[in-house]
Amino acid sequence: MSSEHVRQLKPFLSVFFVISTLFTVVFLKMEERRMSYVVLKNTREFKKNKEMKKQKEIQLAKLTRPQLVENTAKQRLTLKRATQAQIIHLNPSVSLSYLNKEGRP
Amino acid sequence: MKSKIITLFIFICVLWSALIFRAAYLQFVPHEKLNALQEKQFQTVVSLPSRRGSIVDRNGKDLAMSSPTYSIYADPKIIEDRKATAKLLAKILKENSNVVYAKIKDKSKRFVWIERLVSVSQVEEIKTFKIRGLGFVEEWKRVYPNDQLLATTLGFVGKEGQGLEGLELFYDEQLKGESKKVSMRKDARGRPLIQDGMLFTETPQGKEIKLTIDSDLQYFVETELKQALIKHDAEGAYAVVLDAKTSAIRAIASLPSFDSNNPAKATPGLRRNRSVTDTYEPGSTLKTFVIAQALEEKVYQANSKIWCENGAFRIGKRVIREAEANHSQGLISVSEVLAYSSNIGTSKIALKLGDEKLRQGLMKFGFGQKAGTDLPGEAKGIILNLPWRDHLLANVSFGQGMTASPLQMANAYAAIANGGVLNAPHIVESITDLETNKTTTTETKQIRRVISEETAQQMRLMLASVTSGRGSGVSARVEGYIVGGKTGTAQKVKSEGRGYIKGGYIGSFTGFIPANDPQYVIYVALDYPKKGYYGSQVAGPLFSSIASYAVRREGVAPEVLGEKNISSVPVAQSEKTEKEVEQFAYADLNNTTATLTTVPDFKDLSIREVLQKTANQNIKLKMIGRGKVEQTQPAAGEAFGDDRTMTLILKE
Repeated sequence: MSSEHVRQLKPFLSVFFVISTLFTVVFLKMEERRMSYVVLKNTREFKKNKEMKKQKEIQLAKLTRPQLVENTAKQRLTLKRATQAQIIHLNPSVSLSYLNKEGRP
Repeated sequence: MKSKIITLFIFICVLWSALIFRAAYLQFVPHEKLNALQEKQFQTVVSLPSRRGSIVDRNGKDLAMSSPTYSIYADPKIIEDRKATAKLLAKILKENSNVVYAKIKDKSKRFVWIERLVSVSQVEEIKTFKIRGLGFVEEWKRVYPNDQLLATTLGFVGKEGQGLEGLELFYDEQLKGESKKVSMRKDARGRPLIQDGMLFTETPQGKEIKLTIDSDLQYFVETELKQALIKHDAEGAYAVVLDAKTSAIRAIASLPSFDSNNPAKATPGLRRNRSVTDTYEPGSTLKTFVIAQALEEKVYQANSKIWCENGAFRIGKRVIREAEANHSQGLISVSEVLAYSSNIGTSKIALKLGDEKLRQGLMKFGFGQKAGTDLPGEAKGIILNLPWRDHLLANVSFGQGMTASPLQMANAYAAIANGGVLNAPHIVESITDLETNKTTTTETKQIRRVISEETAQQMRLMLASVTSGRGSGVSARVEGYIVGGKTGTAQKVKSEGRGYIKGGYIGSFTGFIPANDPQYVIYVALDYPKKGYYGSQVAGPLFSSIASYAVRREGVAPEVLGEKNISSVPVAQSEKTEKEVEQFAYADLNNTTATLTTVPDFKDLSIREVLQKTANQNIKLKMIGRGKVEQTQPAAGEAFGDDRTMTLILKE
């Protein structure tokens, strides 16, 4: 391609460059907007999940409250509170160890 | 022609210049009105309500937390079919449709609340119907997962989320946090747009408060109080459990109580933390401090003898008597005055001490003033100004004519338990800012030294004698541990007029466990019990049960009583020797069982039974298998080896 041809093409190239830059800028802007909607959607989802997690934490706290644990133990498992007579006070002079059938710890 | 073209060119240039100048002016020169217009068109303000911080116990268990909810409002003018809308909302919200319709039937109103604090799922369901004229505001609802547990201390919040009572009120500023308003760009549909790569995701949060409370211990305390309340048909019950070393509150209860999730159902009286806000005459539990002051001032020694007048002591026109006629004493020591809870003995000590020194001593122990605790509504109690007549002085010495709160009483005993220093009781262990993760821990605040270490040690031994032998507090003993403490039976003052309610008493016990190295100080009281009223009768067993649970939960090993457990400070009793004193103080706790030299017959016994029989025998037990004892090595009747090891062979 001769230099004359290049010289003739220069205005078109300039216009092309300007137009493509404009298009790129517009495209990037649109992409940014589109992605911001995705982020917004994910943010809402994230917030919703966090709320659900909080709800689950509250449910867990309610399920593990001592009143419920005791009631379940008493009513469903028919357990009773330990009486003083059932408590064995082991002191440092007593040592306990379990051995297997061969007599090893 | 050329000049015309030049003129036209100049005219167009001027026109364009003016246009560009105007555009630049609008763009770059600040203009309030235009800025406001622009903001209105492109900006939106998003309000982020702050989530109230949680309150947790010392193990991180939630005691108060915030749950996301919505409040529904309506603009009745915009709603198209109000009757149908009311019917639909009533169905989802489980309400009467007439009630909902009454709220929205007036078209002239532009804002009405339909329902406050509605669950997320209900709101989601309403949103699916896309009803015009309905709006939703995100809010936080306070939830107390343990219902009544610690309710009088935690308090509660109002519908707007503001603290109204208890810790919720006292720490409202820290808990509520700061709501944020974020200004953001919005699109044509009003959706917020990403700005500088940021989008709000985090809800602002209030600070998290960690308490010194052990919620399991608190539950046990409340359960025991409830049972005692029913058993003795009492009007109320109070308990305070303090860490003996730091005065950190491990449990605090005032019954009857209420449900923090539904405070409106309770009367204002029930919502008060009465262990902190109410005071009453303490009765004999105060004698401890009269004697401590007398020992500190060296007015008396522990072995000094006092003539207790055989049960009747005249001061002026009045006669001081013991609580019961059969409690009359003759010549007894100061230690025995405390152990037998002698009114006359204590009166004589107080008279010798004098009103000024006694009042000063009680003030030093924190009575008649606030300790600066972090609980709201702390009462300071009453100690009358000087001078005191002899009769009043005697009355004060056994806990009448002055008042103290349960917390004050427990804290004063903590001063004896920890070696003589009065600390400020506190319930907040730490406050954490969840946004910066910065934690502020509460340090133990020493108020003053009240008595010397030596006097405190003497007092601990004397208080241990109260739960031993013929002491008045034997019902408060805990097997395996040495307990120190004092019973109290106070007459209940009339709320109107002078004098006391006939048959009205407050039975209490305040003590610490283990007495040789106190870990817990426990105060328990029953208010106006109808079935029994002595402190030893109604409060002693309650103390025993709570103390037993507390030490086992904390993993405090039971004591093998020996020289190391017994105070080195000599506390002589009347004419007894030091050794006899020790035996007296811990008589019933000392292991008097003879040491086993040969193996007993354990055949067919359970492990539990074997352990009970071998406790305090210094035997090393080894077990093989499960079930009951089949045989032992060495066999029954044979002597123990030097290492005192015994192997149990078990069979199911």
